[in-house]
Amino acid sequence: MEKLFYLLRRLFYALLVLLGVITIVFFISHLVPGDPTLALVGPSAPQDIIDGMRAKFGLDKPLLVQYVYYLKNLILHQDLGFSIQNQRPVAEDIRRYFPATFELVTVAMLFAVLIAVPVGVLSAVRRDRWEDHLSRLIALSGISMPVFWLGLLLQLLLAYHLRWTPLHGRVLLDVVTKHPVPSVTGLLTFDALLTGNWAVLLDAIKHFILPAITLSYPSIALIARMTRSSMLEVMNLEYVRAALALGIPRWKVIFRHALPNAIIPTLTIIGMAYSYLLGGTVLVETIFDWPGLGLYAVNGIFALDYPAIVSVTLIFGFFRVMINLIVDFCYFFLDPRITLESGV
Amino acid sequence: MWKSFDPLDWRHKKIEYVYRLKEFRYTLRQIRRSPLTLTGIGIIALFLLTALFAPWIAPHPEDASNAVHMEAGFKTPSLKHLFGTDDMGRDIFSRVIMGSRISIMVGCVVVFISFVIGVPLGLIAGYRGGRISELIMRIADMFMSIPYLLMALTVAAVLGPNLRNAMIAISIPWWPIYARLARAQTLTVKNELYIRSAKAIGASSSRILVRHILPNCLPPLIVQSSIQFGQAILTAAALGFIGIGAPPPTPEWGLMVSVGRTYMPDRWWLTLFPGAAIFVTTLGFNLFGDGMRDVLDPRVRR
Repeated sequence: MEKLFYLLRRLFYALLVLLGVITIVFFISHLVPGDPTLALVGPSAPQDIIDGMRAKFGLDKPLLVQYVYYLKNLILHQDLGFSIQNQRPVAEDIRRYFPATFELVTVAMLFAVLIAVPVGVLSAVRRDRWEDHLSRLIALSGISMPVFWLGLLLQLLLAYHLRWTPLHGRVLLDVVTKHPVPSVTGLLTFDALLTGNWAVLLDAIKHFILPAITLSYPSIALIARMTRSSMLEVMNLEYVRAALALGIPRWKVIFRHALPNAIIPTLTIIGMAYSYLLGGTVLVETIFDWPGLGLYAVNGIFALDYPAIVSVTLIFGFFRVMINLIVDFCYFFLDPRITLESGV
Repeated sequence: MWKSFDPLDWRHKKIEYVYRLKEFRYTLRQIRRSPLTLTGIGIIALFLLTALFAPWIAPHPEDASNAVHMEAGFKTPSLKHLFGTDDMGRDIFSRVIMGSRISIMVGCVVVFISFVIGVPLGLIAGYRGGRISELIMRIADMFMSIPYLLMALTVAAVLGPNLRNAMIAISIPWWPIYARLARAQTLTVKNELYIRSAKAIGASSSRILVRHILPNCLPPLIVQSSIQFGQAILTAAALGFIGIGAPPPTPEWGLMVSVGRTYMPDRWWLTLFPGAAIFVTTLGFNLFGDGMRDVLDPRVRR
């Protein structure tokens, strides 16, 4: 009962944060200096057209009334406004571009965890040796690396000179036309896997390599550092020292006894790492011509398509809150020691 | 007159002084033992000196603005032009050097704004606790839920593309980091004896916060500021790369990479060198910040 109450409270809290995110995004979108309708109709438009536009978008109402309308439309009709660059509702665009971004972010996250956890363990076990210094240097390079620059260099080296991977894009068009993928989940690579479409799957994986490496590097850094410090903490605990004293092989103690406990705090950093990944998509998708939300937002900037940019920010905020909620739940089920009071 | 000279007080001061000196020496020794922290300090020093003397170091300082030497365009790196020349024939080495001044400005402004907003809020939240704390920290959570690069991008896009707006845009998502840190730090010192004594004497809350709690919160905040400084440079470069930071022909490093991208893959030097400047500078601040965090962390101290 107490547990259920805890979970419900987390859920309520997530909803509250969501509402906050919507509010922040709404007010940011109304920072536009001057009149957003002027950008639409041009500064030389006659006054009655401007007034008509203002009335149409509800801009003649007070800010608070606009906020209530925005909230109502968003929740009841999933209405995110109208995209200027594509001349259709933003919600439609989001549905169209989200799967590509979701796939990229997920693959990058898996990649990051697979690399970062062993690196973190290694540098904790070999503390203050050269392995530790090296992995610290690699990790700190990760959060210092301009993602766009790394992407361009990898493109130059691996795709252009060595020709190991495709230069950009998500999948070759003639591969998909020759082997069409039926839409099961809407996620191209996943659908190809489900339907056994190996040609498309292989091509998609090839296209994944560079963007996923580029995108995940900062997260690798973050997760590796966290794994290291929580491993160090666990390795000093008595049960680990006792296990070592009993003569259980060191690798077995590390992987069987220490790591499972050390990995739990690492979970919390995952939410943070998603922040890097989602933000990074804007840059990585631009460089690799990845048809996702990041590229959509960047194109929106140059088309002065404010509803599009603002909506992408909103969606990524949603995504982030959901991830946090999932992490919270995992944490709860994995760690029986969790104190029901100190949930935040 | 005599009252002001209290031998006991003087002895206390001396003890405190000796203690502080010891602490300081210990810190120095820790730093000396860590080659990576030293590297970080070296990079930061080099960066600051470069920015300070930029017009004298740069062989062609006039290339930082819109000088055009079309006949010298796209020269590969050589002794005459260490990093080569760009599409307008400008010396990239000079532009990178001059660009360090922009990075310093961005770092200082962003750290200052987010510090000034975040730290007072964090102090109040930690000291007062209760509802005010809940409110401030929940708002901080909401801000932190939006990926910061995206929020910066949105704010910059909405405000209009220029360097000033980019700096505002980068500061907005970052105050919660300072608020959280200041709050956590306040919570650890708030029940110390000296704070309770100050309260017992009748010191006002604002005096306690500013004179007693804030100084004790500073070390981790300063370390964080070093890391934030690097991140500010990185984020400004990202905005510049997308095209909503400084307008051309500003020698902003991200913008230079963005221009260089159009001439990839044959004219790689347009991209390589400005990007390397971003990377090395940010790395310096991160190495320093990370090293100092270990030095200041009481759990690691022996």
